[in-house]
Amino acid sequence: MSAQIHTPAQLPIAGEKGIQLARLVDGLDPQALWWLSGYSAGLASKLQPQALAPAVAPTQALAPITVLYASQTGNARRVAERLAADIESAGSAVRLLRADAYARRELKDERLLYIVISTQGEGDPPDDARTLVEYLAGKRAMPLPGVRFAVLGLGDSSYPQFNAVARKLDARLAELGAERLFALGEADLDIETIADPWRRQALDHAIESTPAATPCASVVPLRAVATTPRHDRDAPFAAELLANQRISARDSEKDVRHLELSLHGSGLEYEPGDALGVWPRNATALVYSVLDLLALDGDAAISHGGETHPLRHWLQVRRELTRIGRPFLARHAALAGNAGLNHLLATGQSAALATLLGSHQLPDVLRAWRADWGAEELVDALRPLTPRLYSIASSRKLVGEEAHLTVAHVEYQAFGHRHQGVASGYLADAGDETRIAVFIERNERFRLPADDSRDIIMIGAGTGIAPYRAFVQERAARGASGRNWLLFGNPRFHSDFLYQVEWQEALREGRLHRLDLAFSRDQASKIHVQQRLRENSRQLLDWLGNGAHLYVCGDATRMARDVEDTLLEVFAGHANGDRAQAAGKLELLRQEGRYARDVY
Amino acid sequence: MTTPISNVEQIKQASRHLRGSLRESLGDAHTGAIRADDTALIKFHGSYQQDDRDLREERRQQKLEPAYSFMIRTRTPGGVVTPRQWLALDAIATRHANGSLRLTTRQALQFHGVIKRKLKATLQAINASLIDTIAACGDVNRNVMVSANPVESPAHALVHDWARRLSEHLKPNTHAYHEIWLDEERIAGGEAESEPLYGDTYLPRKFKIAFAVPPHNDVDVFAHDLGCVAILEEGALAGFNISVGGGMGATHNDAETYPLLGQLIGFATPDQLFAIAEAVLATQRDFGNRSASNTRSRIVALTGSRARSNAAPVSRWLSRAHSRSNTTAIALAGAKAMTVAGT
Repeated sequence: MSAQIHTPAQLPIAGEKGIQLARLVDGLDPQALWWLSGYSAGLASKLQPQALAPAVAPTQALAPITVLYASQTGNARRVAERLAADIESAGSAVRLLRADAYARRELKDERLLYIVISTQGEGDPPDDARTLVEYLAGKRAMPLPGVRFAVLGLGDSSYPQFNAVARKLDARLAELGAERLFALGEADLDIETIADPWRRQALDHAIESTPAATPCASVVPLRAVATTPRHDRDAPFAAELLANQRISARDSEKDVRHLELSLHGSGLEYEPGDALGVWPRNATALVYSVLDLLALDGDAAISHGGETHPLRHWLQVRRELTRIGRPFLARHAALAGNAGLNHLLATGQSAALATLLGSHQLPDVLRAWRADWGAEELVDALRPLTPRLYSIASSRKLVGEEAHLTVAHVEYQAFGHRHQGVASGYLADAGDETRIAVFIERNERFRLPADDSRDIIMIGAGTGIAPYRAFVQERAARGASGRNWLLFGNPRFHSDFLYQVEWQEALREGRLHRLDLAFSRDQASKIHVQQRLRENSRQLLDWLGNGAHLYVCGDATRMARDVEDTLLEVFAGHANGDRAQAAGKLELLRQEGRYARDVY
Repeated sequence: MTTPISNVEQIKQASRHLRGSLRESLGDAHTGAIRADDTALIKFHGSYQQDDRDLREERRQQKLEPAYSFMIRTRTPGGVVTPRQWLALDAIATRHANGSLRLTTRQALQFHGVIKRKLKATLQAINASLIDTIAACGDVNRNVMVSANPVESPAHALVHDWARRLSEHLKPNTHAYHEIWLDEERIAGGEAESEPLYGDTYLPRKFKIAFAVPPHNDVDVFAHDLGCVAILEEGALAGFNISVGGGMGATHNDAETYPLLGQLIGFATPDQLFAIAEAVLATQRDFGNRSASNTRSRIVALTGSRARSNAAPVSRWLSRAHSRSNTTAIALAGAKAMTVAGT
């Protein structure tokens, strides 16, 4: 194959040189042309080094060709292996990857991508490709300009969904802007009939696209101009909800969600340890029950603090309905003229009062003690709605412009009615179209060590695991050399081992170095994280002696307190039972920024 | 041409007589599964790993591993258990498994839904009831079937007893089961522990034995690798007509594999029984297909294309068995007249 190049009119090389160029390249094979382009790029960079140097970013060191396979029974793997071997023996660098081992953020950096994928019975992808296929099919899939690809499907034509997965994938890649090199191959049970010619074609393209010499070119990244306005608590960003996935098993007593929100275009940046502030909305049913109980008109325009909104709006997005305060209860008691309630408030029975305030949402109070509220005074008496903060469960270094959350959906029956937490209920019920008002809440006290060689000990229970997911992602992305030790507690192994598969993978791949688990309800006597700390006190002291940073995240009233008691006990045990010395040691750790807590 | 041996063969070979890394697998609190290689080995201990297929996809999305659990099967020759044992097993099923106790077509009992954390306690409880699960699955002699109701007649009781003794005789010799599940110490000089019958790689495939007492053949004696049809003369047990090479195993779409009836090779007196069983088992052990291409359906030596001449390797092993043991020369008499279904 030889090159036939017509010098375009707008070529920056005109006249004699242009003709010489045309003569020079005429008849050259692709390898020589590639070499030439590299040669001239190298010359250019020597002439103008200062123009490129400051902006140059290291490009991803990807092999020029990627062969990706997803296989249920091994056929797709075999075809992919043969292709990769062929390409390699033709002298090109190629990497062969199983779909579940593929870092999908690399997709956009691919130059030549071959995919061999089978379709299972009902048109399903093989298990190892589910995540990738879901991602590509989803709205989050990044555009793929500059990616050239070809797909080979393996299927069984006796099923109606013959090669459905490969067909969809092939169409979707093109839709995302990737360039299809040649038509989708659809192999039937006699795989080779289609696979062999497909492989030959793939090999030809691979050889053609491989430069003989590495071109001396650098990629200059275009830096996005930060023109978007900054978002904060008062000007939250309306984030698209990308995923809302329950991650506690169906037989769990808890409904824990993994949420993924898009921060694309927001300019919002966060560090591991930071929280995402969420402005919730009260459930419509809750608003209606308040309106019904008080026989108030939701459309009535109510002015308060210089703002005028319909009452419904005040109740839905501006006032707390799930949490009531003592001032409200006092006004309610006065309006209701209820002796018992007045007595409770007057006598300062704080425990009983706290129990009442902690258990009653607004409709519960309105049902228990009837009172006639006017719309204005109601809006005036209720607490303004405040945002809820969730520790971010992701690192931007891994997920890019996304923030992941781990949210326990608070939902229970009380007083004969369904109750929900305002924000967790709002998030749990949120669908694809919901835009969530969010901002970043910095948490400078819960930071990874600046020194990546330091070890970290992460203690968490329940959703307290969230920031540790971010920590481990971040440390892996940074290539931190320090070790990561996670101690996690929750009720049951079977149903409440949050992010189990991710932790298993992290352990396998050396991103997590120790994992101790405490599942309180899996045995007759309850086991909590602090027991694991006690059992491993020697290692704990070793790690801390080595400069490790210690983190505690989760429930403040029980877990964090018990953990702290245990730390003191372990330290005291090491200091001949001296509690004062133990407390001093803990305090020192705190002062050194090596004992950080994120508790709620 | 030598074909590479299959993965399972390699696992068996490296397992130090079925120990593998089962201990480490049981101690790993991060997963409800055992290591991949151990899933092949645990079968020999009477258990295998399963997961709830209906939950697989849901749990994958929940970032949870599959809902792993274990099936446990007993070694109960002829399916005989005492009332006391039955009650014990029933209680174990309630306490450690999913509450059900299944009777299998091979006269074994199965527990389902035992999670890894409870596996050891469950096996200990089963053993405490004087029933074990050794070789209930895996490439070894499986639960021996007997159609005899042991309380029907003294001869029936005797046949059941022969089946029980044969099951005991063909049990793997390894101490692995006792070490892993019952916390017994490794026997001194354990390095020298041997498997005289099975060798280090056990069988290429499972091995099945059934005893029938005419006229009943509810055990389907000709569908077994080794069939023993009791010959009763005036109510007394004279011996057994021996059939070999039967099997139901076939791999779909593989013409090399197909079900085959066992063939009668002669009559054996009770005192010849162990030697014959060893010889048939050794034939499968040494002539069976262990290559990677083995679809793990029926063994080639006893079934399949060479089945018609299977008497030859068996008789060769009969003479070898003789030279190894001190028994008298094994020469099978001709099969005696019998009437069982399938003849």
